[in-house]
Amino acid sequence: MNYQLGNLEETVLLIALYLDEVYGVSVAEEYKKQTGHGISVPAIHTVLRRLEGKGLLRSGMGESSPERGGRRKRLYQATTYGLNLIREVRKDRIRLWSKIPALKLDKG
Amino acid sequence: MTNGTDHRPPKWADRLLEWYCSPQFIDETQGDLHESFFRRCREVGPRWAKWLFIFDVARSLSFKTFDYSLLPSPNSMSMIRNYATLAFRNLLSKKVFSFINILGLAIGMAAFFLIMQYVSFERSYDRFHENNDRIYRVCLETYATRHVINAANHPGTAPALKAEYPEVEDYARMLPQSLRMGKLVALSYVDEKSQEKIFYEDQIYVVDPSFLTILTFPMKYGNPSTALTDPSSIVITESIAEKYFGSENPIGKILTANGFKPFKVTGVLKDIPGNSHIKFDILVSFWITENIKGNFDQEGHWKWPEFYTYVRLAPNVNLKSFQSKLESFHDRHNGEYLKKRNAQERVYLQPLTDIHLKSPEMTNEREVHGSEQLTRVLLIIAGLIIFIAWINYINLSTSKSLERAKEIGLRKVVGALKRQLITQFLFESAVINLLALLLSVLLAAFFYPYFSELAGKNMGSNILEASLVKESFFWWTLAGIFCAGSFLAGFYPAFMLSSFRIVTALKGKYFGSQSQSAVRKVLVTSQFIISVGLIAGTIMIFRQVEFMRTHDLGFAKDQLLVIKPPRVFDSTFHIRHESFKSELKLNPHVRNITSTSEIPGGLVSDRNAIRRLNEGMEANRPVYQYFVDDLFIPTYGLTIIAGRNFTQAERLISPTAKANPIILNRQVIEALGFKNPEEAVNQRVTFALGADDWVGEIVGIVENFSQVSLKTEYDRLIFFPAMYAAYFTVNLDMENLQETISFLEEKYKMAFPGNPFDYFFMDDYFNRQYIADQQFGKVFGVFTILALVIAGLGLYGLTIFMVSQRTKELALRRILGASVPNIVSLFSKDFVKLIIISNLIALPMVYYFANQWLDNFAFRINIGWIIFVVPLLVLLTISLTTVSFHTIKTGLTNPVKSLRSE
Repeated sequence: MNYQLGNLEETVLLIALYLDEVYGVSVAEEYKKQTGHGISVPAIHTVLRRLEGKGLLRSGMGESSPERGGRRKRLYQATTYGLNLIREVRKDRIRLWSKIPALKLDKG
Repeated sequence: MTNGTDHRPPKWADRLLEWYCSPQFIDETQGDLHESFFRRCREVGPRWAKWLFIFDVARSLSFKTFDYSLLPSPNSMSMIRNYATLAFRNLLSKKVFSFINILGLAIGMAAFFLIMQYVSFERSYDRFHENNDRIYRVCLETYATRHVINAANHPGTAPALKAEYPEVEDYARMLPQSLRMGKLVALSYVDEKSQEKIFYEDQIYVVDPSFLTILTFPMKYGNPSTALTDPSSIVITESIAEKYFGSENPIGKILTANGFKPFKVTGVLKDIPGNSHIKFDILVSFWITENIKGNFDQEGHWKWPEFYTYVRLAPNVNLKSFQSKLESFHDRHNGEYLKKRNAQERVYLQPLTDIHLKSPEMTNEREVHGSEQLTRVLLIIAGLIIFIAWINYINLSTSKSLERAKEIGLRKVVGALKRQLITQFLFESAVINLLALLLSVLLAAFFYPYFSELAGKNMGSNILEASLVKESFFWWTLAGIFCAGSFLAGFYPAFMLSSFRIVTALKGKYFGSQSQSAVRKVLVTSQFIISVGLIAGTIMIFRQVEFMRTHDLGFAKDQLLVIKPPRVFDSTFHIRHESFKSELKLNPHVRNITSTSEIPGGLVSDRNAIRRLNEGMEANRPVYQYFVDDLFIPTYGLTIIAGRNFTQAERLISPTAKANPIILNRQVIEALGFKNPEEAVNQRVTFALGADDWVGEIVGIVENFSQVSLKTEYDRLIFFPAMYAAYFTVNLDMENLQETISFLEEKYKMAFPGNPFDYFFMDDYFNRQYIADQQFGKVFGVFTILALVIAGLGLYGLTIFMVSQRTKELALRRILGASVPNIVSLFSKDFVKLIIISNLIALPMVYYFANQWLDNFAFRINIGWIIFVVPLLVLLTISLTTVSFHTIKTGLTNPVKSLRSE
């Protein structure tokens, strides 16, 4: 399978997969919780849009709240294609991992 | 921490986001940003959240989110390219018009920037001090002869204020050193090689140790809070340090004053900024001499209003309520003394930042103030100049329309919409304005140092260092001028040009000239009106200043030279002064010499009060007092209108004597209610000296003379006979002046060895009161000339247009025998009419405002016919010259040539 997936894109896609439904702020929060590094909401937006463009996510408008100045959320969900792709990625990775001699890894 | 909903994201950033983002993304982006803003408010506080919000907005403005409907469609992009091409082609093909337009606008804008810079500089005074909003100068308001505000105060005021009112955080006083030790101090420095450097210094102030903590002049070396605590410490400015020590570190070096008093340099200030209301070179601590200290602690406290006093109030003190608490302050401390003189004193707190521009007239001020009124007048002039330049633009571009009628017609035929034509013309005007703007920046930068000098301000020599460019309001104005120029001035021509009817335009017939030329006439007339007003204003200011400089003051100011004697307070004082005076009289060029306590040219510092013998204390008339010798009246050339002069031996006798001889001036006689001066001779009056009431006998009455500038009325003056030499005034004949002065110097050195000989001429001294007015006149004059130049450029352009329109007609007239003067007058006629009309409109206004301004002066010129004639003549000359310049050229060309061309 032919794919091009950056590190951040991969992380965001994973988050989207396990949280089921995400939007900019929730991804940013989860990202910080999991990696310990802060990330700006606009940066997440860029990634979400790119993933959508690649067909890995799909989106629809959600509800609004006063805290959002009356603006609605754009909620993203992973597509089946996204799920398949991430499986591919994992498969590739595992194949690569398995090539490293166990000794080397344990030492680290 | 708050719940986060009290705060809102910065509005402007939010708006920007809304404007920029396409509808597709706005919900997601703005909503998410808001949501994270409120979360951050709770987590890191609203301050940070706002910053981060702005940051996030900036990051959200990407190519992707941009609302591309904001951009013109690709089709109009190529239209814009087309407009640009056309605009530049037009500029190049009509070089003269473009040149006049751009140059006129550029000069106008440059003048505007320079004036803006001047105004912003004037407004920046004293704002470099920390806490400048809490610092006040404690002035002294006195109700006596007249209501006078003294910039300085008694030495006792500040310590008492601090002790009595918790509102006062701290204070600092400063005393011009000249009051203590004569005007000049010789400072010397001996370096390691025993070489001595010695200079006279006159900008020395004696200050409280707290001075540099209240007025935070930027320091190069040293600690502001400790630099002045030691009695023998001295703080100098950078340039003084360089003068004495070159590049060496000055801290710890020793400077010796007048050869005996050593001071250690404990601090170096950066040179005092040009926008400080007080300028000095050297500061020394108050406690330099026991003598001064003694004076502070005792009687001198409340009778020595020469101390500039600054206080820093606690934060959030309400000035009004604090000021009202101070009403009775001086009565409490100085009541008895004031009562005797029928005077009242009040504390007047003046905000530090008001001193330069918003100060009422004050005595004892060290520097000439700016005037807020002047800055307003200049801003108005700046506006008018820009306005004139815009009118030029409108006039020239509408008159060009004939030549462009065919172009416009054709564009319409091939389908140009009116909207597109308007856009095209607005685009052209934007291009012209932009070029003018660039040129004006160059002009302003080039003329900046000259302007700085003209305005008499040390604003720095480089416009980039100017305070103006650091202020955002300047950039807004800049943008405002550009937009107003492009749209307002561009709109009328654009609208007019685009509304030609196709067929008429293609036929090349110039229709609608009726209404169009009416508009043009109105515009030209308003240019003329402005010019008349400016010319008349200039003339009036110059005439009034000249009048004040040359008007008879009631004394012989042109022949007087004033010498300041050293203050020697020992037993030899009288003998040395007397021998000096008698030595001088030996010189045939010295007509007379007198010693006095005061001289004209500034407010008299000593006050008194006078009443008739049978009257009570409440009838006291406040007066100013002079101590003079018997030669005062002849030396100054005053007229005795009744009675006699003092004799040489006459002195005040004693408080108990029945008749102490005094001389009064006419003002006092009138105030005392005598019918005429003769009646007053030998009458008795009561006045106060020290703690006593004295009885005086009026031996003589002198005619009034101007003690201060002609802006104010004559003062009431009382003269006491005494030996009191604060000044020697010498009446000289002006032949061999240099020789006489070196004679004076020689005698001075003999009588007072070791003292610098310091003299000035009375007329210079007196006229320094008009320096600010002269400067005003010069600045006003220069900008008037600029306005005239721009208006002249416009006229020239118009003439070219009119002539080109009537080339054939001119040729025919020439063939039929019209002379060149005939042709010139044909074209000038219209302008002359307009000039006359504009004079008729402008002059009543000029008359009104001129009178308003002149009413500020007690002695003023009459407006006179000159103001009505000169502007007319100037305008006629300018317009006739510009008109003839081009018409003569056309008139002289062979008429056949112009007829042949089609």
